[in-house]
Amino acid sequence: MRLGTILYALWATGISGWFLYAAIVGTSPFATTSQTSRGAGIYGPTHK
Amino acid sequence: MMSGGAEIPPANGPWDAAAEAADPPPPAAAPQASAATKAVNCPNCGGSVEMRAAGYSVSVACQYCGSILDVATPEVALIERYNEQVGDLPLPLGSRGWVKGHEYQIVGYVERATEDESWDEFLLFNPYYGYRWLVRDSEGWSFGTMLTSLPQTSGASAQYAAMQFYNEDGESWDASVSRVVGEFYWRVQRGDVARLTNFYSGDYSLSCEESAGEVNWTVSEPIGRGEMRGFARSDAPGGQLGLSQDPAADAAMAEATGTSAFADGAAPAKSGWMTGDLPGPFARAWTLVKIGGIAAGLMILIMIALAGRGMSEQKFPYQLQLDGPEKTVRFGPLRFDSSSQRVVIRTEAPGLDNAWIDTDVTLVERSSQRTIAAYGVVEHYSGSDSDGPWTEGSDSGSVKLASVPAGEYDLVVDASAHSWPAPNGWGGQTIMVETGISSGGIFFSNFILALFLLMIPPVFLIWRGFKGGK
Repeated sequence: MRLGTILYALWATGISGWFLYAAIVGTSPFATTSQTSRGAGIYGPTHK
Repeated sequence: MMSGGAEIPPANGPWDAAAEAADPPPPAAAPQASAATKAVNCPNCGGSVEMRAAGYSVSVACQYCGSILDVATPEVALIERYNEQVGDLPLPLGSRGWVKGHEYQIVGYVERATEDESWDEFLLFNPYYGYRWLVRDSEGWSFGTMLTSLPQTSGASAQYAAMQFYNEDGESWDASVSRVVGEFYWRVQRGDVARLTNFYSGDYSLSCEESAGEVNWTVSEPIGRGEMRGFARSDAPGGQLGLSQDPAADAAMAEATGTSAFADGAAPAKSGWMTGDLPGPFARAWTLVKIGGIAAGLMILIMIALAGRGMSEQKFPYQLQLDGPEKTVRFGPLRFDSSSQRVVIRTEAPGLDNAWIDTDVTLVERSSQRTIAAYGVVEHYSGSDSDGPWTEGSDSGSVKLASVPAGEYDLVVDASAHSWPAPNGWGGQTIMVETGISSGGIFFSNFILALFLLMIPPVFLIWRGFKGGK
């Protein structure tokens, strides 16, 4: 088996492991951890 | 690679498939019944010369005296007489082996030379896959396939099968045949000269040979470690030639590629993507895609297994006055049992239009008074202009909190509703709002991110393949 294939298999295993960990602890790099009000934001439609 | 440009028997390799678009002829169409073994007697030395591709071969070089015989007709004729001992070949005629997942037999050998160097070319034959070339030069072994369609050439470059090849120096050489043994599908003899022009793309090369008004193209690909087995003679260690001669590995190769194509009535070996017929980078990318697919399947199973975990949604209705004062509502207790979990807080205001609702949501852990705060907004607008009616936003929205620790919590919501455009003064319509909170589940964005990361290496290999890398 090529070294590149083995390295990719390790890469895929690492990603799968991270996915399992993130699923168990309920985390995501895109999720909100803690956030305060956006304050005086701008509201209203952005249509046109 | 030397070839005569006459009829080329079945050649259903990947390069031929590329030339014939998406509809290559089925391998079973190859007339293997006519590719039989028979023997003819050399008119010069009387030796019995075995023909392994009878029906395709038109000339044979006697392995005893080197004389070239015409075997295109039943009466074997002497084309050119030699009375010298033909020395041992690097690989013996008639030996069988596997190259890139298919079994071949060596039927011919040509030694060719330019002014500066010489190299060996072995003509391989398989009743189902036709002829191929096995070439050994100073840089090692390569595997050649004769093209059945012309590459697109432009100056110092040539394009074939989506690969770009270059001959940056614009060099070409005269190469002559210095030695020939075995059988061939065209007439070949010592002293034949062809003009060679090579185009390169990484370890791949595209060779153009011009001789006697004929032009032949061959694409050569490198042979990786373990992609060639067998062939070597019994009295010469194959390791000296860079060949593997592990009998167990040979047996495994035979099993992996199916029953021998040379056995009577045997089915053809597997072909196509699964046996590495793709050019190097694409074959490696396909291997990685399969591994990545397994990883993706595993992640889908994880999502299914953990989908029902956690607290189901609890809903809390309340009212807000449009453009009225901010309202604070508290809901609880809410118990989260897992040590760490995803929490989703959803706010819905059915019928909300041309208005928005600000929601500051705070989870307060009862024992420690630790808080986790987040902000959300629900807004929906509609109207009509010269293009017709339009809508924007939604009457519901959600906030997803990550890694919320276990404990008993209260949910505190500070909410206010506002109309658009801004009203004159306070007071107005009452809006029904419902806030729901649930825990557990999986962030789907993690799955998308994981797929993206898994795709980077194979996409890079595919890109490199199209760029002409190895």
